[in-house]
Amino acid sequence: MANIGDRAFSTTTGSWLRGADGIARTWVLSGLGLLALVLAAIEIIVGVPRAQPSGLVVVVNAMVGLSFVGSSIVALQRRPDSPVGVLLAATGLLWFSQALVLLGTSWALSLGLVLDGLFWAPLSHLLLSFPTGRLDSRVNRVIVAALYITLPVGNVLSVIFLDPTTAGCLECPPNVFMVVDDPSLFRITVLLNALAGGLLAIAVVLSLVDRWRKASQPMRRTLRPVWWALWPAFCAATILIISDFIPLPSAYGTVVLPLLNLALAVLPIAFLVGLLRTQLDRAMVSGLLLELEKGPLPPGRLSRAIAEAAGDPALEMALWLPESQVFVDDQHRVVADPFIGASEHRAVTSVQDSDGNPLAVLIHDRAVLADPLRIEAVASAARLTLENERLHAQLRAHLKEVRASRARIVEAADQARRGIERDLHDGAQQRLLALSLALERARVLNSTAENPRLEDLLKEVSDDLEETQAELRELARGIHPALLTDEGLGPAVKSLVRKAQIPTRIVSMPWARFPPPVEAAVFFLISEALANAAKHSAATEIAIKAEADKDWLTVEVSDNGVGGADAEAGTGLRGLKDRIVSLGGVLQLDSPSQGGTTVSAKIPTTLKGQDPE
Amino acid sequence: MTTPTSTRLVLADDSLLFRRGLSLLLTDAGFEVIGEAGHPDHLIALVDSDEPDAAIVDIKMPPTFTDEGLRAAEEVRNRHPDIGVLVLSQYLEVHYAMTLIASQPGGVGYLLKDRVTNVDDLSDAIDRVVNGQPVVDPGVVSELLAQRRTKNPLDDLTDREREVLSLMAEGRSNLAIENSLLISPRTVESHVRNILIKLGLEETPSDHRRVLAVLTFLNA
Repeated sequence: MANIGDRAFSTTTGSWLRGADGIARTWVLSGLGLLALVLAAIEIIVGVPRAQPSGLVVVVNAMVGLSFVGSSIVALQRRPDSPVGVLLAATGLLWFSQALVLLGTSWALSLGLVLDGLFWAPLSHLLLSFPTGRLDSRVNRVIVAALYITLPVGNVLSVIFLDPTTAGCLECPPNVFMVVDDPSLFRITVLLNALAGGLLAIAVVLSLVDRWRKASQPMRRTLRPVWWALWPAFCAATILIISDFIPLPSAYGTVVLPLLNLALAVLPIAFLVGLLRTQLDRAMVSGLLLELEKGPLPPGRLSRAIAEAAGDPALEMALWLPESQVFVDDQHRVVADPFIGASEHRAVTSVQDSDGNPLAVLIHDRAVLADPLRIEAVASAARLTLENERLHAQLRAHLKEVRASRARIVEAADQARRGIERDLHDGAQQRLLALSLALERARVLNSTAENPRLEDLLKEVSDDLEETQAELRELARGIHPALLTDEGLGPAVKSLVRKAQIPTRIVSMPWARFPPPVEAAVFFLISEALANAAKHSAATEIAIKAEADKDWLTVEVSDNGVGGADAEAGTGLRGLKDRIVSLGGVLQLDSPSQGGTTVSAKIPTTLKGQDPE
Repeated sequence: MTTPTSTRLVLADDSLLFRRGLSLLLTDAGFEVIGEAGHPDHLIALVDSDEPDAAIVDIKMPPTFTDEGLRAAEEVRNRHPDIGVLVLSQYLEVHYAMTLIASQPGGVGYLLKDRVTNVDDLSDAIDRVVNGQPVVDPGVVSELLAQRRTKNPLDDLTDREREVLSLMAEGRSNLAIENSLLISPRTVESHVRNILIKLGLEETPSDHRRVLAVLTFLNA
């Protein structure tokens, strides 16, 4: 069986921001905001007067960057543990590379050219890793790595061949990175860059569609805002790229382009909504706490409460029982190793008890991990209840074990009795029989010899032997009646009743066969009840009733005697009680002092050790 | 009183020791033991090939050592209705006796194994099954008669009638009862009639039907 102690508890990867204390974080985030505002201001102040045909394009363009950086500040503030904020910030800052070009100094221009379009790398990274911020497939890791490498390298390769003045920008300052002024080489590198960028963009789009297609319901819920905001933004990006090569009608520049840029500005907000929606759901955890405070939950309720709080209705829970080395669900049924259930969609989160030992596991949708803190909070909230639950489960397991071992003891004793009976039958009784035969032969042989004294002696020995055999036969029958083993309850009880000292009526008796321990329990109960009645009750009549349904056999022996029998007085009834309880049954003695005694029992016939309650 | 006629017997018992002893005893008593079997299948083969007058069969035999003897007895009777079968058992159990008697009309008997201690009783029982009559062990009958009952119809019987009843239950014919109690045929007839009336049983011409009716009544 699995040992969950070996499996790492990993729900969070800390980021530097998470570790940083509040004040440091505030400084960093303020700086980030200020930088974005300065860049936006530069872009608008310098860009709007020069913008052709309308300044609106520039303003909307600056808003896209501000939107990304602004969203990143919220994300980093609210979810410092998530890489989403960092990726949003990187996208927003790289977006402002256009502002650098507008600054008009040669270093700013050159840097702007190198950084041009690099925002696609963190943006794609974000799209492919949302909502966790971690890339979960090899393909996606390769695509994102390719973007981070090809975009800057491509830019550098083209920038070294570019002289802005030769390219037609007469008032542009010189390009400090230029090595050779070669417009044709420059054009080739631009084409190559566009080709590589286009291919990677297609790869990103295909991978995104694939993720959406394969996403589970809870995952789609998280992805949905981004998914819907993505397509206008995607169109905007496509048009931006096309506009690099083909001159578009002016309507695009003045109306369509700002509208599409507006869509791009909405995208980071969609990310934020997707990210913080899980955060909002953290309120559910307090709901769970309230629910748990109400006291013990009925079986099955705990896992549902946890499922609600975690936001995954399909969540399953398994408790780890270290003693029996098995997992059980919250209805105490043993379940398969939950770690086998981990898959593309299902993740397994371990919960430790207060001593840090494995306590339980939660099997949930991977989308729940979008907010690792939440599942951790859920686990913490449920920890005490889970520990309690486990104690219960352990207690039940112990009880079951004790009951099973008691049943085994009784069964072993029965087996031993059967064995003794068989040994007597096959051993001593057979030998005595052989002896009788020899003796009888001696008598036959002597009958012609006419020795009356020997004849008398032989007769005497023969009679003694017969009596011994009769006694041995009764002894064997008392130890364990062969009739019970061979023919079942009906004939065996009938035989018992025939020898009873008080007139006994069998009112009802099932003639079907039952498991041997059940038959033995019923037989010995009747036998004990008859013997007790004969000894103490002064009854004149006894009635035996036994009935069986699908799962239970009930038996009742009642007499019309003096009553007042005490279950604790004799060892007989106590032994019977042990025997019956070990089978998961109950024994009852009803013997009022006004008279009459009824011994009754209810025994499961399936031997699965059900609870009689 | 041993029968000098050479009744031909086969014996079936899984214990060789007992088989040999019984075989010697019966041979001394004037029977002809023509075969011995340790397994029911072997018994059937012997009976088929040698056609004895009677088979003496232990109730406990392989493979399960429960009641194979009863089934073997039935098998023998089904193949050869004229061969008598005497089932020996170490258990004084009415259930087995009733099962056997009810399964075959006449010619079968259930005898306690200990009865071999008295070769006269044994040869008497063999003779009776050979003659197509039922045999029920006296021990089984006395256990049935001894059962305590709240309203016991047996209380209405005279001592003599009780004696006659137990002989009837053992499967004896009127003639055998006459010989056993040394009374006249008419006395036996009137006893039998009185008993049947007192117990509310119908008169029946066959010994087998009579013994079954009496046993069923006593076992109720």
